[in-house]
Amino acid sequence: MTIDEIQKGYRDKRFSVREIVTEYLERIRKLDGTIGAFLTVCDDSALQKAAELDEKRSRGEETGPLAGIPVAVKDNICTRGIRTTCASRVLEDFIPPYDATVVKKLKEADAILIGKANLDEFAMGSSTETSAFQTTRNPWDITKVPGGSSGGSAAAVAAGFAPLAIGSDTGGSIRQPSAFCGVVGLKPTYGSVSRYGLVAFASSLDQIGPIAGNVKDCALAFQVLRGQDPNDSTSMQPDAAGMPSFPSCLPDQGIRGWKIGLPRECFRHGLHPEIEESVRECGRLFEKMGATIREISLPVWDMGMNVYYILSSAEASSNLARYDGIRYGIRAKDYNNLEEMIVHTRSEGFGWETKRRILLGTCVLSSGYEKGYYKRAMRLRDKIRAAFRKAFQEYDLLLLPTTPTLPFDIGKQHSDPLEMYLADIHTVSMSIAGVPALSLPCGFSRSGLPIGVQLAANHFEENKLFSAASLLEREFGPSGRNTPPDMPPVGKIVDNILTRGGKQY
Amino acid sequence: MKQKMKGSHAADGNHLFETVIGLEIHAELNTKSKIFCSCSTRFGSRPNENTCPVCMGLPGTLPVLNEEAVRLAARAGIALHCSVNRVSRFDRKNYFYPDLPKAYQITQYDLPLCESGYLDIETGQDRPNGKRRIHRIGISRIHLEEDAGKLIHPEGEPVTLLDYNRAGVPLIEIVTEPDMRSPEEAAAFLKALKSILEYTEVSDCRMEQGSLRCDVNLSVREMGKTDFGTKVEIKNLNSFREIQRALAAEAERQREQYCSGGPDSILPETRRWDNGRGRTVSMRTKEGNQDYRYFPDPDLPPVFLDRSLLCLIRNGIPELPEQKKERFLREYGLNPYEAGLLTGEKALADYYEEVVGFGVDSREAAHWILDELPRIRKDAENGEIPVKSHYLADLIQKIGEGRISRNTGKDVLMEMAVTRKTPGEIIREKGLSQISGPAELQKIIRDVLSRNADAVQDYKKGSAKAIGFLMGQVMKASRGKANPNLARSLLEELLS
Amino acid sequence: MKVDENTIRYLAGLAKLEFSGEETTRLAEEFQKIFDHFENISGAYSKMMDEKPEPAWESVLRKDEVKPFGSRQELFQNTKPMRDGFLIVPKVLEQEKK
Repeated sequence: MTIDEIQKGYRDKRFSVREIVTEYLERIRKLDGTIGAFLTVCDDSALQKAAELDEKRSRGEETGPLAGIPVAVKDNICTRGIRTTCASRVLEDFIPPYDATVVKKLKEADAILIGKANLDEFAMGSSTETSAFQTTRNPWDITKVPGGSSGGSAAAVAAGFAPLAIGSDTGGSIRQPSAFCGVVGLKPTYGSVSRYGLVAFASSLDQIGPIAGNVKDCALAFQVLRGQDPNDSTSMQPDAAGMPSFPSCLPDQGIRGWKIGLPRECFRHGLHPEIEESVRECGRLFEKMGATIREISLPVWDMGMNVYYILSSAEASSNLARYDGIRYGIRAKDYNNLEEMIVHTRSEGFGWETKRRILLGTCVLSSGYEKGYYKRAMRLRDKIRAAFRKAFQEYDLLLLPTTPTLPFDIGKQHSDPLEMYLADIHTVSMSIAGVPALSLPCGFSRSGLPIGVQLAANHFEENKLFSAASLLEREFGPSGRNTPPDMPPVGKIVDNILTRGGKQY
Repeated sequence: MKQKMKGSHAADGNHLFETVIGLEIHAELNTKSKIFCSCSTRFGSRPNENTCPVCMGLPGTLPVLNEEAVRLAARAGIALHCSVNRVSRFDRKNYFYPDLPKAYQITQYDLPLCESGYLDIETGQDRPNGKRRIHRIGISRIHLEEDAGKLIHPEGEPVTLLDYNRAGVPLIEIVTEPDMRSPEEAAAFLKALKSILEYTEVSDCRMEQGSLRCDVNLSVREMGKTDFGTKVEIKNLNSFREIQRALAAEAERQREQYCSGGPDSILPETRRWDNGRGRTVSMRTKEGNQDYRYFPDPDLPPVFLDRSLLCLIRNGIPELPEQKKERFLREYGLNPYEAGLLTGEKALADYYEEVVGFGVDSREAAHWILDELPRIRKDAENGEIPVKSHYLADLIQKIGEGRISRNTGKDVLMEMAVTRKTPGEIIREKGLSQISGPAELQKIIRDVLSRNADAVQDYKKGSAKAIGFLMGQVMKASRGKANPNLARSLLEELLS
Repeated sequence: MKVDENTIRYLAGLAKLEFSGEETTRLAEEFQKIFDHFENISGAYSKMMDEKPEPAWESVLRKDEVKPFGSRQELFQNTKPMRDGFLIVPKVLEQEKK
């Protein structure tokens, strides 16, 4: 169901918030055993909040823009009083004493936190398989991965466990799972959404964003999430940064006369032919709508992966140093002294991929071994930013694939890090440049797996992404309408409520 | 034989060596809240009372810079003649230690807030007639950083206790050039620096509370050489006295080492001052530099100080010790020694001006504050001045008016420090008022003269001593309350 | 850059991680490959020294105000051993050479 449909139902008094929440919880209870999207399901608090909202509505009080909408939140975003694990042993029992700014905003918008979604440990991965606790399966084919690291969030939306999920994206962690799960995911402009309460992986790249069943819901959620936060010095006031006010009504701005660039570098070796075809088809559709499509060249593209892995690992090595067993999180059982306590806690608490990246980051920062890798990567980041700035002087949007491959088999991801890191090849450059990018479904492969297309725009031009995406969405049909073949349709939720003879409201 | 050689070397070798000293001073800034969160910086709170998710390094938290910390650090920089960088940046210094909640310290590495300043110090001013020499000590940089928590090691237990109240308290680190050549110079620099930080209200500089801390780099070299010797870092110095003793001991140790084992036998290491044993003790050797993996903190945008803000900070700087000293010389007719001592400490200078402000003679006020006050102040808590300025002014005036004698005045001052009563109250209660009525005094003197006919005879024969004796008898008979000047003139009058 | 098992051991020491001999060998091999791949940014570096750094943002500063964090109990709910308000760790030994 879409946010609109649910809210219309509330307005028309077809069902109560409590009924909707109960049905979603019921669906999660029945089906999440197979999918494994959630690490924590917040039954009690969700039902309680639902009851409060019903009461509020019965008193005729005004409610927020996401009133009564169940939301899944990635488990690296702090929720006061609710376990927040980052899918890591080291934080398996961590209960934050505070809410992340985005969680506060969701609560103020009267959204209902329905559960905490699985992820790759500390968001390091692109299959959700590095989670220390469980494997999440792709609702479209449960032998496939949902992508990652926000795999639990994307799978939750695709499986109809929530109309909206919140993820985080460092090098593609919202966009890639959104593509794999056939949903819409936005990585906003760096600085447009507060990171306060997002457990840091790579602070200069991390950004929180929404994942939803359609473009409009995604845009609505972004509007709730965004805004400068006094607790995050890197968050920015969009208006101060020159963002035009957000269009109150999304579609039909039209893209006639827009110039859209197709980066040539994306269409080389390794791109799945069906994905290439889908992306080119999107280009043809845009042309029909009156836009101009040009192939462009972004030579910095090839450096993106290396720059990304150097910067993100370096920052991660520092951000993850605090997990030493002293103040919170697990503490190793066997140790003879403080040094052993710290080493054992970290060695037992972190998974292999996390340790590998901590070590890699330590290496690029180390004065003993570094050959200026980190500084060089910083310089190149500036160069990549400059290249994007230049491209967006001429082009309104970039059009490109989200992923080089279709969702791959669970357990089959390359253990070779270089191969594994290629999953992010089409997403990292936008993260480095800090520009917004959105992935939306653009059809299916012959094997029946979702294919995602990616749009990127200049800083704070999310509205351009939403406009173009909503036009494409019309062509392909909103993903929220498509239920994975083996699952009961999401529309069932309302049928269930009504056939159960619930009274009319 | 060898033993003797070594001994003689060390003894007469002192003047063949030069000691080279550089300082790294950490001063806690006078802010209400911590540098990156809104926790209080109050000293002496209950353990971990002043903590929050940010300064505890909880996952997901982010730092937000305290503007007052930037202002105070820039102020210190301006007062120490530094150039204040328009753009500066914060970096992470990565290392594991339980007092460091994030396992990195946010500090400034290659773009500090202030650079290349200096402070002129005078040596020889400790003695009123000493020969004064001015040295310029270079300050290479001043940067902002966060303090770490505190470790407590309970005696005889296998545990260490952690208190994070201090974690995140704003600090400036002031790094000097290796420009000092003796422990005395180092102490003089530190005193002058402390005075400036107090004057500018950048830091309260309480060494006993750790809000001013000093690490020292010291090396020795043969006189005339230009290359520096191997430098040794000395930590854990908590008072001026300790610093001077520690540096003297360390310089001596290095000279002996140099003489017995040659320059290469001095190891680059960190040593700790052991006050009890009166010597420095090795903590760790510095095998290569520690690998702190500095990089710019991505959570904090660079700090920009535009011209107008810098102007504002510059204008907010109060009169500095040097300027105040000049003014004291000009306005109060003091000598440089007195002016230097009074302005060396802001609290003392302010006190002096308050006393003078009550209309007391400025030289007289300087005398009481410099010669008499220190005696009672040394027992006071925190070096606080235990007598209110208007009480002291009142006391000095009463002496000037001849109501009590100078010596009685000293006793009254002592009494004021203890009882906090006004001089009037004390004089009244103890009956200390001077006898200045000529009639009353004449009566006493006549009594004395009649009882001491011999002395009167001696006087008349021309004995100079006799009048002194008679004066003593008069003072004794008045129980010290006779106004001496009046008594003397009356005595002379009656004798002639 | 050359990566060997000593490199891995040195880095593990800095990062406070422990690896088995087998893991150390594997990491050394992987890191060698990764760093060979990283080399493609060295050439690019020399060609771009003329790039001006991005114009930076404005300073973000906070007023100097004290706002205590509400609940002690919540703040320390994840801290296991505590005593009289202190956190507890095994004795920290000052490294002192005798």
